[in-house]
Amino acid sequence: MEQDDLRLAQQKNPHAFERLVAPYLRGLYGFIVHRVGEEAEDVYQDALLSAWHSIGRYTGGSSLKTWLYAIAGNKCMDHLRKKYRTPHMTELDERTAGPGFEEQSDRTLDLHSAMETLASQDKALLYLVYAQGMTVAQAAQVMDIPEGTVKSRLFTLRKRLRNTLEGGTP
Amino acid sequence: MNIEELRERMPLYIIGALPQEQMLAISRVLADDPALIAEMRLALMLRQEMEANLPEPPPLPRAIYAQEERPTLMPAAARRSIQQLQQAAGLTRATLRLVGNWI
Repeated sequence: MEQDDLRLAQQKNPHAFERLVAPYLRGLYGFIVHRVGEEAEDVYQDALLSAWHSIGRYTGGSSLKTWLYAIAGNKCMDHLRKKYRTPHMTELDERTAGPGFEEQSDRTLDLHSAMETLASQDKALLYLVYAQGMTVAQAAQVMDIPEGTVKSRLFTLRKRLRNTLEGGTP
Repeated sequence: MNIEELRERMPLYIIGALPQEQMLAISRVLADDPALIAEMRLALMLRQEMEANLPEPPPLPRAIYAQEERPTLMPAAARRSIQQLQQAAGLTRATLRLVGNWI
């Protein structure tokens, strides 16, 4: 069924494309919300339009889910680059916005508060792995970073969140 | 399965997306390791936290359906092409007939 829809979508049948991507849309939108926040809708539309235009070139090298998320990841990066000029500045802005870890280190934070203090890139990575069940390799492909970086970042984030939940310094 | 591999599979274990053999293997390791149980608890909480209150996705972009909303464009273009081909064929036939008569 998915193969039939893929073939039809590659022949520019919009309904087949819709059926093909439908199982991934909620998760995909969630990823974009975690990555870019309020402007998620524009990035989501842009990513899906891009997927529609390039579905003809999809060869099945990676799963359709990973392929879609990778397109969305690129669109998020484009969006953040435009917004903050460079991704490095994005991370800085996000880390310095709102109450930071330093200010809250003297009290126990719940997980929600702890998540709020994370950079969007870290939140998106946690989302891919813990909510979407992606492997390190898949998350690395979507985020366009090396697998080793994903592993070390996950290690650091787990440690930080665990410390936070235990009431220690994150 | 070493601890690193187990950690990587933990998110899939939580959603039950691993083969039964691996699910059982992880359950056995978890039962004897309080630190890993704490990690699994964190993984579960993360999943719940990240999935909570996620907005519904908007509809697909309208541009995807743009071609379909203009279904008459292609047949009209095709009709014009066929007419032009028929005219060309008629002219060629008439020319050949004239040349034949002349010879």
